[in-house]
Amino acid sequence: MSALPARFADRDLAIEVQESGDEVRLVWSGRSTDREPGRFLMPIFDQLLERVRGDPKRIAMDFTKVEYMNSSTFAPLVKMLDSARRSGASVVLEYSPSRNWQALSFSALRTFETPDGRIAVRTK
Amino acid sequence: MRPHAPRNVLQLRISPDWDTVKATWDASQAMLRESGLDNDDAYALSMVSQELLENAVKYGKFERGDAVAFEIRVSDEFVTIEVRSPVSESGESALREFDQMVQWVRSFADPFEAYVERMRAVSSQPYAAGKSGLGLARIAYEGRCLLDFYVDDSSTLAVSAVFRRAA
Repeated sequence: MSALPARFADRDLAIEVQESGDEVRLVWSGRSTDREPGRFLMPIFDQLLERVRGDPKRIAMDFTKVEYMNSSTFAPLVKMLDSARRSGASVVLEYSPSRNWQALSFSALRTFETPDGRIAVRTK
Repeated sequence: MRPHAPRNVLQLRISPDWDTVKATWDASQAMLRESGLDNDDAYALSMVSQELLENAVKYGKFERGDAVAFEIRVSDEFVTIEVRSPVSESGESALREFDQMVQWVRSFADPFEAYVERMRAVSSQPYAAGKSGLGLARIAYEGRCLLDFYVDDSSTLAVSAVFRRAA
């Protein structure tokens, strides 16, 4: 299992990677406005799910610093949640309830939560 | 003053490229705030503007010199965002698909349900960039806008999103 790079960046979007004992944390910041965000995000998600394969580490994605995400960004994100559910990975998405758009968008993502808490969407 | 009479109007003709679409964010936000909308509504309607403009650039049929016409009209009662772009005269199936998606979104009494349904549909299919319908559902849900569109004789598609302001 190779370590992930400490940082991914594409145009106005940056994702910092922080690994600790029990989780791999991705801290998103900036704006995700690319025409095809999946070109940047899907390879990261693939690496991420490969990184935790057979490892109990949880994936935490912190979106609280994100200023804007276009709707095209949600497609790779929900695909990643689906892949995580199938592979048995544990993922938590964290958002800021004080940002109205995040409260709205991420409350819709709660539809992907699993009863056992492996896939969770919560405020931070 | 009549409630539908616009108090403030922003009209732009923009080149159909991605960076120009992104650059309209600040102008939209500023105009909406100056028109008395609060920060959350100004943000949500700027998002609506971006989603409509992104769709126009992605799916429009632009010849050299063509532009996207973008307009925000604010009245006491409504905010109307309209984006006009050329479409292919032979693009009937694409327009039919667009019509079906708009009608589908409008068929939900609660737009939250439409947004969740689109997310579920996207998650269940192999990932592919393209028409997911998420943007239109998001306009209805997060933007609290009613969507409509028409195509005129010169094959220009006009898509509008209408937001009713709080009394």
